[in-house]
Amino acid sequence: MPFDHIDEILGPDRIKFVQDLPEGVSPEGSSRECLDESKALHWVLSRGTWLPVGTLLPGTGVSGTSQIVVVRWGDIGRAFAVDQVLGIEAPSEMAAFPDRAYPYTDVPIAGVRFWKDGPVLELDLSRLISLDSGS
Amino acid sequence: MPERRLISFTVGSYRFAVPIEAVREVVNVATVVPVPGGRRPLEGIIPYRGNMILPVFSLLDLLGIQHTEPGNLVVVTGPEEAPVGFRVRNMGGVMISGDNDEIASYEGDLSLSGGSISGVLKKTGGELILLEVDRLFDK
Repeated sequence: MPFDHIDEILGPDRIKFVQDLPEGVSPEGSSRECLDESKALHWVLSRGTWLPVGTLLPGTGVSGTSQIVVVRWGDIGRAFAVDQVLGIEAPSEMAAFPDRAYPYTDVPIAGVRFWKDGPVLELDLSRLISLDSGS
Repeated sequence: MPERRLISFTVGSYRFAVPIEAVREVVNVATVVPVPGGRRPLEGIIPYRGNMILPVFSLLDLLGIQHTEPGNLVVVTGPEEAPVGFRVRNMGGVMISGDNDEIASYEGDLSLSGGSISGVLKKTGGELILLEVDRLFDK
């Protein structure tokens, strides 16, 4: 994902279960947008706002070793669990993701870059967040 | 039937033939990279011609039978602006089909939806399923 939109990268120690949220805390910053907020088991505090932790891929979850990537898109913040943040790299120019392939994945992909010895998929953050919010 | 030049290939236990002009090229790939959250028949993507990405599909999945071809040969077909690839087991030769060849209706277990199979070409040495690759995605 584009580094410009990554606000924070948090370690697994920052993840809180929903029952462990502090008394009186209202996750207002996310409650307006996140449809699954009521189902979110894991939360992180990012710059004063509690955000539910989502996943990028179907079938994946939050584990005790997950890292959390907090993405900001305009005024909207989102937290996603990933297995590992590999680093900040300067890959190639982006190639288009094939139109024929779009119907066969639910992951919003902006395009493909080449990094080291293979292609790396770049997430479309605007679609990722709009899909997440249902807007 | 006007004379046609066909190229044949094998996927799983099926032998196919397509008009030679439908095949853009055949490439040998080391790895097909899976797409996160990808669903069949999409098998993955490969770098193609420098800065392009080629989607690789399971041909048999598109024809209704789940199958992953383990080979490294990918037949590239489709229009120049939107090529697609299919992994094949091996390539056959180029053959000419003409008036003397018998073409029968396909009655096997592959799906005919979309008109992607136009018949069976009976040649000495076996039968070949005539594939209309342009119609594989017209479903």
